[in-house]
Amino acid sequence: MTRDDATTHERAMPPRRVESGPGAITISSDHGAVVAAIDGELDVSNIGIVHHVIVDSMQDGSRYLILDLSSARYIDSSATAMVLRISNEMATHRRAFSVVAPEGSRARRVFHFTGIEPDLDLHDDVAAALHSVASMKD
Amino acid sequence: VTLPSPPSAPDRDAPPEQQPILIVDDRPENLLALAAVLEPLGARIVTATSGDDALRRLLTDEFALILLDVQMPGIDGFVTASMIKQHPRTAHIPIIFLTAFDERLDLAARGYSSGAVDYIAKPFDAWILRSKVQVFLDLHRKTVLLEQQTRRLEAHVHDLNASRRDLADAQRIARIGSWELDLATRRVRGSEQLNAILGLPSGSALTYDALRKCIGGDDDTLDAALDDLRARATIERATTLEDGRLRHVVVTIEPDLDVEGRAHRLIGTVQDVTEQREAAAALARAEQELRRERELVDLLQRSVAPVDVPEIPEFDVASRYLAAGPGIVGGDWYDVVPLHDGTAFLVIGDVAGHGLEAASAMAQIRTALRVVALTMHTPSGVLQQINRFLAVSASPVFATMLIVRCDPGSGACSAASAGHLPPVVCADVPRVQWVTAGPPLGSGLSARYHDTSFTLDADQTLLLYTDGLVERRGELLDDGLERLVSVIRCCEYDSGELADSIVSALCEPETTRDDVALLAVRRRGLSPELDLTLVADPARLSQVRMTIERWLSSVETEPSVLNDVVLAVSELATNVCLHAYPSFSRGPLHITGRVEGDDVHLIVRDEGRWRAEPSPHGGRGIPLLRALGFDVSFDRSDNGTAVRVIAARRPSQCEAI
Repeated sequence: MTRDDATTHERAMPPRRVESGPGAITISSDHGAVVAAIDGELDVSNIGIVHHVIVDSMQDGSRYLILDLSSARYIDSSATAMVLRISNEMATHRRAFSVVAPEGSRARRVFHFTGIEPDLDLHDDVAAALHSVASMKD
Repeated sequence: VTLPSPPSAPDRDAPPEQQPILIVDDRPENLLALAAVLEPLGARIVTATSGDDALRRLLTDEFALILLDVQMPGIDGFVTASMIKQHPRTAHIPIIFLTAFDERLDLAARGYSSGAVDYIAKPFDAWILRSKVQVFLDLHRKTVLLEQQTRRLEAHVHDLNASRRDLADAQRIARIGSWELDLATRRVRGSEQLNAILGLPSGSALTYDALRKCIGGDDDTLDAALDDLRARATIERATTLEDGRLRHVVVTIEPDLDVEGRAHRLIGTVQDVTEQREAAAALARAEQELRRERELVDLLQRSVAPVDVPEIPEFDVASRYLAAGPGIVGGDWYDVVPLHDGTAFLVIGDVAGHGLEAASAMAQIRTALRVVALTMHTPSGVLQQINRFLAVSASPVFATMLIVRCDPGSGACSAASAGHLPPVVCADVPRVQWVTAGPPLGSGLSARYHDTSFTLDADQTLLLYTDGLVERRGELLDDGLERLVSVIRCCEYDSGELADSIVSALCEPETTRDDVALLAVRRRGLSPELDLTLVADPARLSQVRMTIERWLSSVETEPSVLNDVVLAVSELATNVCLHAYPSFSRGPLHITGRVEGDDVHLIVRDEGRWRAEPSPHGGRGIPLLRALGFDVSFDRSDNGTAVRVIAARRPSQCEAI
């Protein structure tokens, strides 16, 4: 994904909100991290575009991505596949990646039962995720 | 970066249904990506790297569709689009704008004013892009076919009239020759005209053999038959003349009887009816062809008209369209647009006028409706936006429209009308549901619309219709509405039967002058048995989940397990959408559910055989369901795959034991 200067400039204005099918994604920045928050539903109809927006949001050189699924009303196995894919892409590009999925949330339950919980850096809220990356830096 | 090379030959010669797509973007990598995404559609793709470049290509080539980047150096997408729309030769080509995300609403509005029909936000979702382009290609193909059929129909009418003229001419110049045969001597005499008919040299004497050949049959039996002839006979046959021409002749034979009742002399005529027979045969062929063409045009009109209404599980939808006459394309239409919150727009409209112009204005309004509905969820707001769109569109359009937004779960409705007739609620006591009406669409920028709320109870049917159903010349509209309400006798019908009974009661052919569109939507009450059939489409999955959730609640599934059951059904439905049918074809998705004691049994079934997935059980979905504790079983056959999930309606207590 290569962008010229004009679009890089355009993109430097967070937050952005993108609605797609039954869900929406809002991109914002918090203490130097890109926070991608999902609300509504994530299924096979919108994971493609959500994935694209998330990866695109990291093009300006941010080091840390937080995917906030605490407000996701529905997520399924195709969404877990997308989360794993992002996790791998971030690792390849040496970016830190955390997922916000509090205990009792739909996302946490689906991660648990698909068995990918151990593969993810999971937190209860964005603040905790930010704290964790700060301590990693130390 | 290599790009698809520009076509060497002009595409003006290409069959219209195979005209290529023009993609305009200043960045080669975008062109390449778009071309790759659209490749599976099979349409040829031509690229242009600037507005100027695009306009140059449009001068020489015909295109089915234009994908136009908004932001380009030089003349931008909007200016390019307005130039395309100003030119009569290219004004009809649909344009899809490609815009960046942040601008999408604002730009979409500007897009309308320069005559675009749709927009796609960047970055593109390949699936959405392909689907939208496919819709426009289909519409283009159907419009082209309809135009071709209409032209062919006109040609056939022309041929038919020509055949009728030929027939008249042939009768006028009908040639009849006469002859006489003495049976005792077998001597014959023929008229000069007969020589001409039989292709004999002028002035030559007719021979018995020549006459016999003309009358036909085996020589001996013919001789005997002629000897025994007691009454007038007429023989029609094809005969090959001396000069080798094949002619149709009618031979009449009149016996001249003596006192004993025996013929001693035959007198007769030979008439050459070749032209008449050929003209009659051509006439019959042309008439048959005309009938077939009219059927085709009707069929095409039905496919251009939005009869392909999406299924909403709780709605039993029936629609009828009656053309004003065979092959007459009209402007009445209807649509059902599911919204992402599970509600749906039920829409009916009437574009003034007939013919392809009205039909294409209708298609434009319908597309505008679907695009506006993506972001605007109140009927009044949608009408306002479409009205603004029409107010600035190139050709003046005058149309009425009624939009009812209905929540399938609660039956809560809100409706707004642009000069359209009010809906009728078919209940035990049918009633006209008055809706505050604003001016018709296209009557000016300042029009305002208002929403009216009402409720459609379970098992009631909402009836939307166009004026052809109720209006009679020289009659008050109220009388027409009263007549409509009076023919709704029974609300126990399903919506299809209801629609048929209304059509048969009100639309006698001699009283129907206008075209008629009818949309009947019955809201089903939820029953203990769930039975859904819909098109396997990932975009419908959210709707499926809402329906399953409502059904599970209605059969008293505990909230703590409900979400997992919804997940299970959605996972299975996703597998059907992705793996049951080949790409870009859509087969049915069946979901049935019933209660068995403390369990619910849900079956998700498809009618496909195609499986791209190497794992037959659809990736991570099935292991997830089993991990969640569901009993999942498969039943595979040539007719498709059925997957059954058994789930407890209450949380399991077994773990403690």
